[in-house]
Amino acid sequence: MSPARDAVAEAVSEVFEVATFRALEPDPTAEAHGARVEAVVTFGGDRPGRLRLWVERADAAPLARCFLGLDEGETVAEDEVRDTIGELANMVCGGVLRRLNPVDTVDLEPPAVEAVATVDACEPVYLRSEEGRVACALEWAE
Amino acid sequence: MTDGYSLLVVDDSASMRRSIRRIIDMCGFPVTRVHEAENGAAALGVLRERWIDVLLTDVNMPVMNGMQLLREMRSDPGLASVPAIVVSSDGSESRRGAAAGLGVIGYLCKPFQPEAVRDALDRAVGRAA
Repeated sequence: MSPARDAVAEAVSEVFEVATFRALEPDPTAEAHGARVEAVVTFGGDRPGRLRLWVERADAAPLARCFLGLDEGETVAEDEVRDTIGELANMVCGGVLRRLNPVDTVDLEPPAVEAVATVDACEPVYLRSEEGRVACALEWAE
Repeated sequence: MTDGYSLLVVDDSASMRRSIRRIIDMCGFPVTRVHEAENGAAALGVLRERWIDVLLTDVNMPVMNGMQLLREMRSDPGLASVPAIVVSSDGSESRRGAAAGLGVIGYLCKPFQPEAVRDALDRAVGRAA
């Protein structure tokens, strides 16, 4: 893999393991279709771009419950789910950029989160756990 | 000795504030109350009205970011000595250096383990071994 793809895979794995207790591994199916929640974090600096993170829509609420420390029976509000997926993307973005350039300051915009039907990026990194699939892509600005 | 400490968690994400509170609970640090603010300006309001033992602040926030908050605190004689910990997704050397220049006690790069939070809080209140 390229340094950027390695950084994406490492950062996603670290964030999901520490923040949601999910152990991820490469997903050989690389399935792009299916209902997802997508979070996009735009970043500035010398080399601006954006990081896109997709989780399966059915797995978004369980992920939020893990992140927030809620029991399985506890309900989680839709805005908390969106906020959580955005925060996961924010942490992944910081982790990716730190791995690629540990020196320079990172300026991250607030995450934008929406429901989508497919992973529409060029060669995203696909990972999965027992609970669900994750995809992530780093895109540099033109 | 004290029964617990009063903390202020500053982050524009309600989920992140809730997660930080959960991690503080998990790490076993003695707490009497955890206050919250969604940006630096709101945090200054809390700091001027409440006794806060330790501030934990994000960096990238709307209205007033974490670095601006720390600069405001350091220029205010009533707030200059409040121990501060930065909690950020930005773990760059530049940001860490800038935070150190503003006298922060600790720098937690998200995501973080409860042990790291405990260590930083212990240092902030002078409980470190």
